Amino acid sequence: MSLASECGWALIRAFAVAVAALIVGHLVRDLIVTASRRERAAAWFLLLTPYLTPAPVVGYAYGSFALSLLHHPAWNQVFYGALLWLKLAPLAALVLYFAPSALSSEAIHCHRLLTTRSPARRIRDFLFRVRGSARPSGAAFALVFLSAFTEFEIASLVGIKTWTVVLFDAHAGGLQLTQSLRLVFLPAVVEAAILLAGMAVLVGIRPPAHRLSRERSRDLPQSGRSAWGFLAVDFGVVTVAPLTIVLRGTVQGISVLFQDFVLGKDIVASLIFAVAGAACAYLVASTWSYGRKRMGWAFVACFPGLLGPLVLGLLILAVFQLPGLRAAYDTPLPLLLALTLLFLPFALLLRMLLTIHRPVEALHAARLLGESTSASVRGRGQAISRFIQTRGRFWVLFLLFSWGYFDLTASSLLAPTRLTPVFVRLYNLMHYGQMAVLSAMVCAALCVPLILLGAAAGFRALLLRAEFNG
Amino acid sequence: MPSPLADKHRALLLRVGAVAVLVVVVVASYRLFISRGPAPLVVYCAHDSIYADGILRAFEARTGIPVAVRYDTEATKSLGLVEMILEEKAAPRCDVFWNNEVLGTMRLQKSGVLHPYKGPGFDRIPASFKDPDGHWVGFAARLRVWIVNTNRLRASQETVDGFLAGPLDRVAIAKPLYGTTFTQYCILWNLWGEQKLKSWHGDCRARGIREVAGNAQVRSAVAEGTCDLGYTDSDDFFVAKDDGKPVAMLPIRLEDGRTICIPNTVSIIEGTRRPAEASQLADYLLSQETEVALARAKSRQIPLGPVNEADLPEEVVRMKAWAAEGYPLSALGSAPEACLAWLKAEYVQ
Repeated sequence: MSLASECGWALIRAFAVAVAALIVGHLVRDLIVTASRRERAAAWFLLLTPYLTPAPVVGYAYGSFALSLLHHPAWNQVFYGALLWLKLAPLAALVLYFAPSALSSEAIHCHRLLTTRSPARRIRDFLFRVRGSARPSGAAFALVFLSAFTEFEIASLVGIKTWTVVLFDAHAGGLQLTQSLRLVFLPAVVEAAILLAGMAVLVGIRPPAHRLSRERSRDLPQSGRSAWGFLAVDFGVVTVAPLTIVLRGTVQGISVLFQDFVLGKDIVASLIFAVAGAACAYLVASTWSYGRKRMGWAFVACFPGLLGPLVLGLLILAVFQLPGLRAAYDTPLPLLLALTLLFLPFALLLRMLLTIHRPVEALHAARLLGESTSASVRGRGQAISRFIQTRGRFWVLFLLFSWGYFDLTASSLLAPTRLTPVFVRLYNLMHYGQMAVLSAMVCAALCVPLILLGAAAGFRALLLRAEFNG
Repeated sequence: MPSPLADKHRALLLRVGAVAVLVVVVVASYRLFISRGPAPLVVYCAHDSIYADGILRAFEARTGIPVAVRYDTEATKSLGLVEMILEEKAAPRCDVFWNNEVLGTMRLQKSGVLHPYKGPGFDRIPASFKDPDGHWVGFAARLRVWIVNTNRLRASQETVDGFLAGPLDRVAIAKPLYGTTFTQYCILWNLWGEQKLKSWHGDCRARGIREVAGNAQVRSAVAEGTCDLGYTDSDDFFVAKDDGKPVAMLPIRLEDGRTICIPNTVSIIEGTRRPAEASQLADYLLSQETEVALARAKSRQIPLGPVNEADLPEEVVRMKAWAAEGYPLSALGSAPEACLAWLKAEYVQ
């Protein structure tokens, strides 16, 4: 099958996954909005963990199951589609939660009162929704679609032939860079169109006057149960089952692992690249995330990232072979550049969401406090303002960090010889099947970002508390 | 009071500055803390890290020469280390290339990036497994084998031949674009000619042969009973056997009875800045000690040079006889290029 036809199938699959993710995303968003504080914490945990479970681990864990479907390729396609849906639906819920409707419920009510029964009403209703309540759905659709369309790691491990896998095959025995770029042109155009649509949708959203009220949404017991059911299945299928399969030998392997902890250096390498890549992408995205005038530049800057890690990696490798740049070839610079460019489209969309979602009234109130004549009130006002502003940034940075930490393709192409990221080594070892020491290695590599997240969250809380108290 | 525009410009400058500082800090830290000290011997290694790492660390400990290794990964195998060496031709970073097959190494030789070297290691390897000018030398081989699920089939050549005459929907093979399946296709191209290989390939597909991503998947499909028979490598077979799966192996034989034996190869990169250390490592890899170590590893690589057979596992002794009947890979000529062009047209349009 040709790359173009695989592209077509991937398009259909990504569309179906994005629509299904949107349906579930709405349910989960409503659940989080209406839940009590404790329930909300549990829902966030169940929602975020599957999304952050590394794709190579999920693909590796289900590789054997997918192989058992060798005689039923259609079922394998369904299985892959379901896996993608479960992996990406949390992203839809996340976007829907952070990107509220551009129109208040009062505005929607007024619109209903004002519209008369006429043949053109349906069209007007549709256009009204597009301008208002459908915008967050559009943004969520764009992000999920982009992620599903460009997926490679799970597809290659569960034996699915998609355009990313065909592109990979096309490089067997080498391919001229111009040919690589020619091959990736069509998928990149599709991605660019979706990114552009997503950006256009987000540019049109303004911070809402009112947030979703809890009382208004309380009457959703049936959908609430469905949402809890989905979260439980998602957590079980995407996180618990793969980690159980991959980590089952951890206890036996842990003693062997600590006899010679060669993984330490690789983990440090991953941390360096993930932290620096996430910070660079975030800072660059922040430069362009507001103002319509800057959108054109933002889109141009995002385009290299849409080429995907394989072609972008090859492109950067070729660039750093040019005489003037060769000295920087065996340094962290090429991989850092690649990660920044790869994350930029997502960083930009997430940064735009943050801008939209900022609680304007609360911030304004905190700023007024910050201008008080009393030093203690002023200090507290500034602390509150900082708390509100850094909360969203913290999570966006963590999301970007986790993508960098688990990156595989760009890292294996561009990392300097003496600084190999940990998942390059682990992915290589996974080829030999299940071993106790490998389980222990994966466990150690997975624990590090979680420990770091805990430490960073704790440090931030301590800092803010100290600032608040005086 | 500063204008909002000035504020925006200041914020922009701050962000650009922060990115620049971050990049400088990362690169400077790398220079100061990681790449300090004597420059190591850079080895690109396509052999499995799980087996190669111990060998290279032993070399490091014995000689005091620091070694930095870059391993191939399944994630980039199609463009892996051979492509990287070609890409870096003008300013090579790699000193020694330890490849796990021959075709890629021969391609590098044709491109003029290999430096000839004939040391003591070269002398102990038979002529059929090395380049006569010393651009590359083979060692520690594996075989292309049939992996048979013994719960389903008897592991005999007659049974396999009979099974292959019928529908092939319970026979697994890796995608022939890469690795040892590609080597097998090149041999068949050379032996049969283009037309016969194409019609055999078409016939296999028409009879429903199951194509999977790689030899490891072939192994798993047969070991788990999803398929009854598969084309794989001896090292993959031993993974399934050591896992206690109901599998047996038979060497894949060509029509003239020869086997397909694929050695690891070692070569020194032209333009290396450490020729003495590179030669030392090449000789170490080609030594009896390394070949025995790789034979005793879980992958059971087959020694090509003379070794004391008492040091070898029983299976390796048996395979050593099969390896001696191997098809000469250096005779493939232009088959790899022609065969790959056809396969790419077949699989990637």
